[in-house]
Amino acid sequence: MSIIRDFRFMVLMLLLLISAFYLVTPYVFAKSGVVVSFVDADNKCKNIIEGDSINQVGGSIIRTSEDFDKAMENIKANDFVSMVVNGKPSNCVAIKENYIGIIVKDVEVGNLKFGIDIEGGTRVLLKPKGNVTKTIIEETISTLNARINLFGLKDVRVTPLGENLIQIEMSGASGEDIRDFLAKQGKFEGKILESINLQNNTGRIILGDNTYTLQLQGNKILVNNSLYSINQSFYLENIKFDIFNTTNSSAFLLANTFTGTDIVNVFTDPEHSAINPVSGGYQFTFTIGINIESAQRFAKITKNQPIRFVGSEQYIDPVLVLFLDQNPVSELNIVASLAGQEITQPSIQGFRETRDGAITERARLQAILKSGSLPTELEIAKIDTITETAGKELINSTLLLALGAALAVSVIIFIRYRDLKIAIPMILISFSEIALILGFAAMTQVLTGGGGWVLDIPAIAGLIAVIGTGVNQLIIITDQMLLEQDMTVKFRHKTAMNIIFTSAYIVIAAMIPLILIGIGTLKGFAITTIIGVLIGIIITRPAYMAILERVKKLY
Amino acid sequence: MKIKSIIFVPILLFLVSLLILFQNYQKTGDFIIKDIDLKGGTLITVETSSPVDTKLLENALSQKYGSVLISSLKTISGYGVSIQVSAETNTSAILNDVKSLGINPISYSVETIGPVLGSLFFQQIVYVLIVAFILMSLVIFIVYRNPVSSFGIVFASLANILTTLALTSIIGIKVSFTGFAGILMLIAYTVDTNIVLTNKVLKASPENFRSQYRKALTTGLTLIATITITMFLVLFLSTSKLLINIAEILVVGFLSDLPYTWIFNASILEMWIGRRHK
Repeated sequence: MSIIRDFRFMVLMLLLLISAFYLVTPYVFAKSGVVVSFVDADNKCKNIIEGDSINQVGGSIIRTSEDFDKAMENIKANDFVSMVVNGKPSNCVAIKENYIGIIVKDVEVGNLKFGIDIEGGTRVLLKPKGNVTKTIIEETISTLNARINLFGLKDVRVTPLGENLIQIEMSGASGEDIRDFLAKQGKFEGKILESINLQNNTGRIILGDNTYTLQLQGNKILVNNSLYSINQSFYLENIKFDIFNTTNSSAFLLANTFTGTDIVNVFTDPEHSAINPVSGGYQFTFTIGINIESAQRFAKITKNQPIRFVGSEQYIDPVLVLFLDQNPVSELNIVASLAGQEITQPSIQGFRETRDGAITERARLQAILKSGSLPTELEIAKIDTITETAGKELINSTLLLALGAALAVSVIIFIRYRDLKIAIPMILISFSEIALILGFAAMTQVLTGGGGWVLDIPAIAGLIAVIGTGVNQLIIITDQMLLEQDMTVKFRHKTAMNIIFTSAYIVIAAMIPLILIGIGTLKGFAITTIIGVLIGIIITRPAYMAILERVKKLY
Repeated sequence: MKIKSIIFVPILLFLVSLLILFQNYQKTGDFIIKDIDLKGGTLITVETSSPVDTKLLENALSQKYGSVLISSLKTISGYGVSIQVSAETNTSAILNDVKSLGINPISYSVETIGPVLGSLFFQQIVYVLIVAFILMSLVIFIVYRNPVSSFGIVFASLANILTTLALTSIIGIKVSFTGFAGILMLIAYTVDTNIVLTNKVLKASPENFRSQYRKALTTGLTLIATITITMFLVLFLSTSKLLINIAEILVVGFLSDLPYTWIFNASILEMWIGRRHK
């Protein structure tokens, strides 16, 4: 019977074909051009959305993101830019110099997906402060995902790690987005800062139509017969007042008006959300909707407050300060005509030196307010940043390594057996093991629509380990079949299979705890090893046996 | 000469290894040299196109940041240094200082890990190792249903892990979280060679023990030759710190496997076969 008809060999060939299909075909049918990865909310383009592919800009053909950047070089604000998008004509009006409101990336070819540690990017481990339950971790992750979607971040993965860690992986970007945005707890508070004038250490708190007496004793404050120090709080008519600071002539109080949970709506439409140039930079504004209880508190706190003039405008003396995680983020003057009104749509303002900075900050604040605060405070336990060059180098060195190892192992095998009929099948079988594992990885990506198995450095370590032990198993099979001449071939076959199966059980037993424990980074190693060992005992080693039986004419 | 006449060699090696680990613990509070991901700290890897004067860099940085560990590395595209500092250090300040010393990074990577998380990782991985070892032992006992040969394999594997860890601390190899993947692979590999040995000699008579042992040894030495050379290639060619750490540990482990499998376990099997045939 020829080898081609051997069942074991047929299975290997069939699966190699399937692997080749998943690994090679994407390169054959690759789209050319670049893909739109981000569309600015302020864009003036004709129907361009994320995922569109751009073929031409201003008459020049675009093949890579570098071509696109080059095409942007000569563009000035308000230039009309003609383009070919998805093979059809389209156009944009430039928002500013070198920018038409679109960011592109190169088309990703291939079904294999590599980890952050290879592709470049940032991996951050977040640890909740104090003890938290599983539900809190789950809530935190869903809030983080909401923020990511609201802000429009791409290629971000949030996963639980072990019992109380959260891992965020972002390709391309730096850790700044995670530190300054995602990992922020996002506890939002609107408080009205009142400065109470003191005469003979006594002042008056105005609240609606009532007034309350306040007395300074040392650096403590006496209200309603109780003493409070700085940073403590007291209640008047169910409104919480924080004591912010005291001086000889004034007491500064923060009247708690609303918090993140009182927010019922965050407006992002152009009518309620704007960026305006001001001296020294850009100001952003957007409106939020708060519930009626907060609006009533606002009315009570602002009513009857003293008036001051800024230019010709009339404002009440107290200002509204917005806090994010206890840090003031914006300070707003309150127009005198709004004092005492039940305002349900206060606006939020902020300032950044650049327009991009203002747009980003506005988007971050909006996403944080919409997604709500995280149920727990997070601290950054670990940050890994890997640049793309380092990752490319790693792939190159791994390819070099694979070739070097194949060569070195071939030489040893040849020295040991002095027989190309053994050495060549052994090397070919090892390469087909790599192909089957990578093919499987590519297949999981295709079948899950991109959510499959990601190859990271530990997975590559696993691959090397599998190939190393794989060659070992082939040597064990060869020696068992060729050296034990006094046993029947059938018995030798049985013993060889016993050895490689026992060895496979051991590897799987040693890897299972790594998968169960869930501290991520070595999971890829364990999974690769187990899959590799299974492919080895089920497919490639039986196929090798089939080849060996024929080339050495054992039957 | 019977193999069992030199069984004192692996036993001595085992005792010395225990002594080394114990001494490490007394001196430093740790049995092994932990890498930063197991003890906490920041590692900055900077890649350059020309060699870096590590002495100069170390002097300049340690004046400013206290304890700084610097080692040079060579990559396929050029040269580089790794800078290890405490977890609290401002990394961008260090990168600026590196640049001001006339070193121009082509690329760099930063890895920071807090001390609490580091010890958590260590606890977890030790737990993984223990569970993996127990599972492996169970499989061995179930497959062989023979307490003597099972004990031989399990002990050889345990002794090999401890000796490998002791040797890494003497040579100065830092063991990282990923390095423990190497230890797990070592379990699998050690058991492989022991299975080959056990399967070949277990059913042998005292007369043909020697010839069966020799066959197993031929196979075993081929295994060690191929896999060691692969790991040496990883050591020399790879740019990944993680892969290199695994390879370092495995090369040490493969060598320390030799006495435990081919002397200790072989002696146990030789004695057992001798007794069975009496």
